[in-house]
Amino acid sequence: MTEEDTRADGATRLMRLVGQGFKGLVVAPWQTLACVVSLGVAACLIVLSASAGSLTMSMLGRASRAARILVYLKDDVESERIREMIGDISRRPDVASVEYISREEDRTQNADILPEGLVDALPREAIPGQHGLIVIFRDDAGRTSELDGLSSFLEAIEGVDIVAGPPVGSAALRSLAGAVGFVRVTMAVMAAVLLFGTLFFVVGTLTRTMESRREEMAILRLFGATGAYLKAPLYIQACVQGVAGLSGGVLMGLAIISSTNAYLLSELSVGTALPSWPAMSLAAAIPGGIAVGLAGAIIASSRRLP
Amino acid sequence: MSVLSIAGLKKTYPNGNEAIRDISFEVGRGEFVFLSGPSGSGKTTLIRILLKMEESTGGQVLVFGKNLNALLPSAVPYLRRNIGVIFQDFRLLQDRTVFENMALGLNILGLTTREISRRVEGILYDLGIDRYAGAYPAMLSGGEQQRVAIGRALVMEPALILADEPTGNLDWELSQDIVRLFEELNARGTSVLMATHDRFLLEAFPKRTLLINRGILVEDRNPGMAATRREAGQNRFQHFVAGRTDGSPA
Repeated sequence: MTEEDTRADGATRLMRLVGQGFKGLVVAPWQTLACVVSLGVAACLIVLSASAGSLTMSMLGRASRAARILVYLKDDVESERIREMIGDISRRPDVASVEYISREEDRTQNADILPEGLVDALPREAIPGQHGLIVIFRDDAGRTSELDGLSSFLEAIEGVDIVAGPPVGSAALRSLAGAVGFVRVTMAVMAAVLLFGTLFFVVGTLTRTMESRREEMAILRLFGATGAYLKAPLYIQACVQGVAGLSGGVLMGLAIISSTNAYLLSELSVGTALPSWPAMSLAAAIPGGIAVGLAGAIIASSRRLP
Repeated sequence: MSVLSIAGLKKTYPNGNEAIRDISFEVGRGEFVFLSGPSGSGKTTLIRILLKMEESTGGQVLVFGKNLNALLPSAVPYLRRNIGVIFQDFRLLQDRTVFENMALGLNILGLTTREISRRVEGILYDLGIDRYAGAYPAMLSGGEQQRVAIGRALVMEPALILADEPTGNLDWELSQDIVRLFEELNARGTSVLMATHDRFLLEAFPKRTLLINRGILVEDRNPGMAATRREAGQNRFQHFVAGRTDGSPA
């Protein structure tokens, strides 16, 4: 038998080290769990914080449009009647101005919010378009009760088909956006503190693993184990902890966003850019987890390796 | 060629304690040497220096021709892979089976699972403990545990065995068994340096013995060489009687 026949291939040797790394996870199971959970909470807070940032932008954008109510008119309403309507609405003290929007203009606006491929595939007539009035009210008229009153007034006008307006006014949205922004900063700070604290958790679990393997490591050293051979399982263990914690946290954060998004969209007509997030967040969790794990492993092994 | 070559070795600890004051000797390839002396004479310190677990403070140590004082830390593991080390307290991992304990070092060499099994099973059989492959150390007697520790060193196929009081925890019968085992290994070409302070063992197995006292090599006794000298003297006498004086064989 040649020496080549007796040597395990690189993959087998790597799998042995990975196996050692996984064994290390159960040396101090509660500490490992605490480490993964705290990493998960930190990751969750980061995702929620980023989401809150997106939500704030969405709210502020919505707030800039919140001074508008779109009043769709029935198809058979004549131009003369439309002019009367504009006059009636404009006389209200809470309304700044009223503009007419044609079917074609509405169709163009609707086409803007549809996916590009779909717009190209559809005949122009298939895209909905309805004529109506854009009612722009004063910026300070943001309280819900006032909006409700205006909406009721508009709905009662003869010839009005649908009143599509924001349930919350601009001022309310702006103040809500401010609150969300504050929460976002708070969550970011908490996540940073937690991540820093988690580093000590990672160091703690690795130290426990090294303590439990101290005798084995000393024997392995005597039999010719290199420093890299002894450290590799610790690094693998730390990376597994890091990736598991961060991925779990990201998934938890995305689940929270997903469930709150539906509420936000229905109640406030605002939401986050969730659809483009999950893959990116999860992809970032892997190198992030490895980085946190490696940082912890480097600190732990530089101080404690026998 | 010498496996070990030590010249003017000194080891003084920071507190001023002189563990080794002046030791010089050589161990040739395939030689079996006892390292003897009372407790605290410096035997263990010497073995620790040979394993590069401690640094000497003077003199020169060559192991397989490599100067330990000039050896880079990164080269130390590769040196140790050629040295089998055995301790008085066995140092077996209690949560691993006999097989796993013996395979511990082989994973470092990156051998295939099949080769690891082949080597471990072969040594288990040679040492007569193959029936304990799946047992844990706590289930074995002291002698059996020391056999496992010896097996763990042997599977690495070392060129040199350093044994630090391997019979210290064993009774007389088991101690003799262990030395006989080392003799068998030595007969296959492995150099053995065994530290012991058991004078009965030294008498029962007359071999070259380095006697250390208070960190100084006080005697390098070689009964084999003495016997050879005695035999040579007798031959010379017989040749003289037969009228030959040059001592050449008849």
